[in-house]
Amino acid sequence: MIQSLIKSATAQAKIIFYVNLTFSFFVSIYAFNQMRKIESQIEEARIEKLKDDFGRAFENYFHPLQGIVSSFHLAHFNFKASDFRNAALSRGMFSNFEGAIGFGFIRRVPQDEIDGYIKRQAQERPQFKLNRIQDPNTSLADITAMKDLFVIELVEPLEKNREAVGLVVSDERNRREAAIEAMISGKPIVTMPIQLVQSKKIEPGFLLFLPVYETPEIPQSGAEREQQLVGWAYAPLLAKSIVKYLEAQNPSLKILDIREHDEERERQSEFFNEKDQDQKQRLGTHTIFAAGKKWVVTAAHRESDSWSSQDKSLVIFIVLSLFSALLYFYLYNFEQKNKFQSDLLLKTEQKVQEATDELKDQKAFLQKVIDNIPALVGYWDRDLKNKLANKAYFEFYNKKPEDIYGLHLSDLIGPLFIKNKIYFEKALEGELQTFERDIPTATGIKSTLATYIPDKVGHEVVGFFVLVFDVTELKALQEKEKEQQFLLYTKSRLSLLGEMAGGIAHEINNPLTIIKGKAAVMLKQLATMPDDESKHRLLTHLQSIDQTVDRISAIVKGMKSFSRDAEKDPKTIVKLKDIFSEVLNLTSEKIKEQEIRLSVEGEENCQEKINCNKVQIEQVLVNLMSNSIYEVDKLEDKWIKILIEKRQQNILIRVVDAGLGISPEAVEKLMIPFFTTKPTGHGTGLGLSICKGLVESHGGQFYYELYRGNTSFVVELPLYVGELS
Amino acid sequence: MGILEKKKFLVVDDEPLICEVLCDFLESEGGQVLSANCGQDALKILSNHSFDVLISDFRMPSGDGRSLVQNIPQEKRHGMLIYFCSGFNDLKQAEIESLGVKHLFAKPFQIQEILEKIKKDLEFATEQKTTEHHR
Repeated sequence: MIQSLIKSATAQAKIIFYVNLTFSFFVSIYAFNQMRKIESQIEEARIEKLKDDFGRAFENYFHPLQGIVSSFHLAHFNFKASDFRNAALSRGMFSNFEGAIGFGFIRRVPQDEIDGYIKRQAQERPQFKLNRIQDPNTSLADITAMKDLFVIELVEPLEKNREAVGLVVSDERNRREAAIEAMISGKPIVTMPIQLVQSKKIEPGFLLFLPVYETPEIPQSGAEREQQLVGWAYAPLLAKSIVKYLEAQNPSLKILDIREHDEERERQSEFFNEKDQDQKQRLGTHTIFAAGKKWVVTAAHRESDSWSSQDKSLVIFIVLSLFSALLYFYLYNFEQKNKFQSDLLLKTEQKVQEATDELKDQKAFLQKVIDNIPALVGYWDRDLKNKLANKAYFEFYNKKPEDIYGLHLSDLIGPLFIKNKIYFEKALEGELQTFERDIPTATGIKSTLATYIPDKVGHEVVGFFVLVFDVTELKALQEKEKEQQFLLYTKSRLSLLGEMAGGIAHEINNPLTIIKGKAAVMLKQLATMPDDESKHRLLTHLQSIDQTVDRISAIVKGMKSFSRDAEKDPKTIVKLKDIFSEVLNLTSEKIKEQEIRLSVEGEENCQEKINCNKVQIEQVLVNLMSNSIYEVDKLEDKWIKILIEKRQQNILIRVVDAGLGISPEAVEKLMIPFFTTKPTGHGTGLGLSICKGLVESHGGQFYYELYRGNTSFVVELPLYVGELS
Repeated sequence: MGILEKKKFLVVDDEPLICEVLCDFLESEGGQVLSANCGQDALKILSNHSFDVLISDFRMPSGDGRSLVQNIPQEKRHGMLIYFCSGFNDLKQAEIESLGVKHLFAKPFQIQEILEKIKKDLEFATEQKTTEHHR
C-alpha cells in the first residue's frame, strides 16, 4: 500500500520524501555523533569524577590522619591512649568517617627497643602486648632481619579495633611495604587489599598510612625521611566502604571491579569484584592512581532510565522520518487534491464536451434516421409551423429541410392545404388521422398514405407528427398482383378444364359426328333433287351446319390444348393457300357487310407448306380476323391487311387492322383465356389465349405487334421441309 | 359401279345415329352394311359372317375397339380392312399399325374422307390379290 502511494505521488512529493528521509538519516547520525561525543565527554567527566572520587575516597581520611599527625607533634609524640581517644572523639573520628573502622597511630620501634616500648605502653595499658601476624609472604628470617617493628600503638574507636592494638604490621608484607613506601615518599600510601584483623568476615580492606616525621615538615630526601620517621598515622579502611562511597558519589555508576595493580611485582589483587551478568554499558576499565597505588576500576552505567545515545538517535531518526512521512503525506494529499480538482475540472469539461458531442451525434443520427426513412417525416406545431422535416421533403416539395423549418404548412403544400385541412384540424384535436392522397410532384403524381400523429403534452396537443408513405409503387404492385392472381386462377381453372376436356371431347364429338353426318346425308340427297332456288338455299344451310360443326369441333380441340396431349392432334401437311382460302371464305360475308377493305400481301408465299392441324390454324386466323373486323367497325377508315412473310425456316402471317395499337396491359388481358372485350352475343371466338396455345403447340409463336402504328397480331409457324406424300 | 359395290361392311358404334349415317353412305355406294352397337355384338355377327371392311368406334362400353379387333377369329380377320373412329386421340400410330388397323378417323369425321380412304385401300387390296393370282 505504501509502495503504491509512493508510486502514485508526483515527483515532487517523492523527492521531498526521499530528501527528508536522507536528511533525517544524516541528522540522526549527526545527532548520534554529537550525543556520543557528549556521552563520552560525560563519560570522561564521570571517569574523571570517579578518579577524583576514588582519590578523594582516600583523601577523606587524610584530614583526620593529618590531625593525628599534628596532635602527635604537639604532644611531642607522647600521646596517652586516653588522650588519643578523647582527641579522636572530639574530632568526630568515631562517627564521621564512613568506611574507616578507626584511626590510629603506628610507631616504628627498633627491634632492640621493643621490650622497653612494651613496658612503657603497659604502664598505661597493662593489657598491651605485641600482636604478631603470620604472613606466608614474610619469613621468619625476614622478620629477624628487620631492624624495626611497626607497631599499632593507638587506635580508636577501641570497641571496633581491639584486635589491632599492638599489632605488628611490619610482620605482614603488604602493610610493611605500604608503610615503608609512605615513609620514603612522605605521602599517604595505602596497602593492597588485605584482610583486616578487625573484621570478622572475610572482606577486603586497606590500611592507609600517613607518615609522621620528627618535624612537621616532611624531610626532603628519602634518607632523611627514613631517619626522621617516628611512625604513621593510619586508618584501617573497609574496601566496600570505598565502593559505597564511590557509588554514593556517582549514583549513575556501578562499580564492578577494583583491583590494585602492583606493576613492580606484577601482583594484582582484587578486592572487589561483582560479576555483572549484563556486560553492556561498561564505562570501561580505568587506571587510577590514588593513595600511592595504581588501581584498576571497572565501572558500568547502572540500568538507567534515560536512553542511550543509540536509542536517542534512533528516536530522532524515527521522529524525523515520521515528520518527513507526514510532510510527504501532506504534500501528497495536497497534490492529490489539486490533481483531483484539476482532474475533476478536466473530467467535467470532458464530460460536457462528450455530452455536447453526443448530443450533436445524436442529433445528426436522428436526422440520418429520419432521412433514411422512406417516407416524409415531419413535425408541425399547433400554429402549423414546421419544426422538423426529413430529406424526403426535398423529393416531394423540392425544398431542403432547413428551408422548410419554420414555414407555415400552407406555404409548403399549397393547394393540398385545403384538401387536408380537415385532417390536421382533427389531429390538433388529438385524433390520429390516416388518409390517402395523390400528390403531384416533379416526377409525377405519387399515391401516398398519410398519417398525422398528434403530439400530446398532458392534455394539450402541441403539434402533430406527419408520416407520409409513397405507395404508388405499392399500389401498382397490388394491381399487378391482383391481375396475376386472377390469371393464375384462370389458368388453373383452365387446366382443370383441359383435364375435363378429354372426357367432354368424346362426349361432344359423337353428337357432332351425327350432326355432320346427317348434314352430309341430306346434302347427298339434295344432289338428286332438281336445281332450284330452294335447293340452293338448302345447300347453303346445310353448309352452314357443317361449318358450325367444324367450329364446335375446333373449340373442343382448342380446349384440349390446355390438357397435356395437345401434341397428339393429327397434323397434316397443308398448303397455306388452302388455309387462306378457307379463312377468307369464312369471313367474307362479314367483311362485305361491314365494308371493310381487305388486302393480302405476300401471296406468293402461299405456296409454302406447313405441317399442321388445318382446322386449328384456320380457326386461329379466323379468330384474328373476327377481332379485327369487330375493332375496325368503330373506326372511320376500315381496313384489314394480311401479310404473309417468309422468314428463314418460318412463315409469318400478320393480321393488321386499322386499329392504332393496344397497350401492353390490354394485350396481356386479351391473352387471358376466353377473355373478350366484345359484349355477349358477339361470339366468344377461341380467345387469343387458345390461339396462342394452338400456335405454340405447332412449335410456333403468337404475339401482338404494333405494325407501322397499327394493331397487328402475328402467327409464326415453322415451314414444312420435305415432300408432300 | 364403284369399288364399294357389293362389298360387305361391318359398322360398329355405340351411337346408332352414327351407324345410320355410315350405313346410308355405304349403301348408296352399293355396299352391304351390317351394324352393331358394341364389341360383343360385333363379335357375334362376325362369327356368322365375313366382311371386307370393319369400321369401329374406339371407345365403347362392353368391349372397345381394341378388344374387338384382338378377338376377331383369325379366319375372319384375313382380308378384312379395319378402320377406327375416335372422338379422342386414344392411340398412337404405332399401336394402330400393330393392331392391323388401317386408319383412325377423328370425330367428327368428314364422311367423304372416309369413303375415299376406303376406296383407295380396297383398290390397293384388289390389285394385290390380282398380282398374287398371277404369280
